[in-house]
Amino acid sequence: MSKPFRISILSADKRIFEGEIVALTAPAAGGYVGIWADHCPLLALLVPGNLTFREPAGTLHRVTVAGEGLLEVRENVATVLLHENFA
Amino acid sequence: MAQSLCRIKARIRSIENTRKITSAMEMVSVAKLNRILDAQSAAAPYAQKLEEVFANALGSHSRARHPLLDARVAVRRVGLCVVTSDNGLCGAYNMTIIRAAEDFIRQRAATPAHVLAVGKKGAKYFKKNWPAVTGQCWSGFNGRYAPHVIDEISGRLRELFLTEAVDEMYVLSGAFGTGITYTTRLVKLFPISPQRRSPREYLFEPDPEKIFAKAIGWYVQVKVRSLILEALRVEHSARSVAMKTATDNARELLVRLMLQRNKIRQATITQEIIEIISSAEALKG
Repeated sequence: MSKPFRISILSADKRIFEGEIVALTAPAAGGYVGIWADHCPLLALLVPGNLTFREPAGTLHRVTVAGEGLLEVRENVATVLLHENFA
Repeated sequence: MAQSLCRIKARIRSIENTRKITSAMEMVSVAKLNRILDAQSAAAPYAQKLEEVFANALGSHSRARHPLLDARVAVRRVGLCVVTSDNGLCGAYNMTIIRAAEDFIRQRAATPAHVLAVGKKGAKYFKKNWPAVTGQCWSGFNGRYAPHVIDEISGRLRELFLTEAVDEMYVLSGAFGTGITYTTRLVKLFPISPQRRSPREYLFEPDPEKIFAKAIGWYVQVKVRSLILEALRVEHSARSVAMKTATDNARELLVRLMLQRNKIRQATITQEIIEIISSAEALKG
């Protein structure tokens, strides 16, 4: 089984998701990026698209990125900051 | 005596009405305070993370350049954004901030200040007393959190700094001290001086400059939002304390007046009884 890592998805006014996941696909500016555990430190600009991630139990989640955002990955912690609610 | 009883009764009625109003206002400001607290706790995790990510990224990319990060060699003009409330009846809240702002302007007499006032009270005061230094003013919050207006304000502050109308930009607002006491807080908004975390090699996607340009804009918005949220929180808490004190005072006054009223009433009754008895005695005699 794949190694899990933590993720927190935040928008300006709420916590969208927080927990352990095993895989993440995010719409970065240069195309979709796939993140697994032990990924090297990454800071990416997110563009509109779909953010998908899988929990260790296998549940697949999808969050729509409507505006822009930031994805930071370091030390097995992924942080997604969605700026979409900001006009 | 009958006249003074009437007067006291009228005063009791009027103070009772005042007490009702102040206690209603206290409840309203507590409700508004709760709303602001909710907004604040909802915005806090995002703001905290953004700051963290920003510090990490700056630490990793030490050559990062952005006009908002550059400290200017000669500071010819400083900008001061003073955050006050739109409504009064909040004790010394507005005056405390205005006094601190005036101190700031006087202390830096060598570098002319440019004041931007947020909130009707501050706007009125500075337009009247410091017309030469006062620039744009915003009002109409009425104690509510309006992110769009705040973003407009932060956009304007940014523009002033970038167009070199000011060389430093400060925000002066209310902040919580210990417990329920509040103080004023002066925050240097521009040039931004964020913490730089220990360098860590990041992969940037697409390139660091593009990410910084975006992240800095968001960072500024979030920073101004959290400052104004804090100011709103202080405003409502100051108002609820002021209204509570007013209600308590009215209650105290009512107790005293009622005692006085009862004494007068009792005196009148005693007087009447004495009169009746003495006239009965006279009839008997």
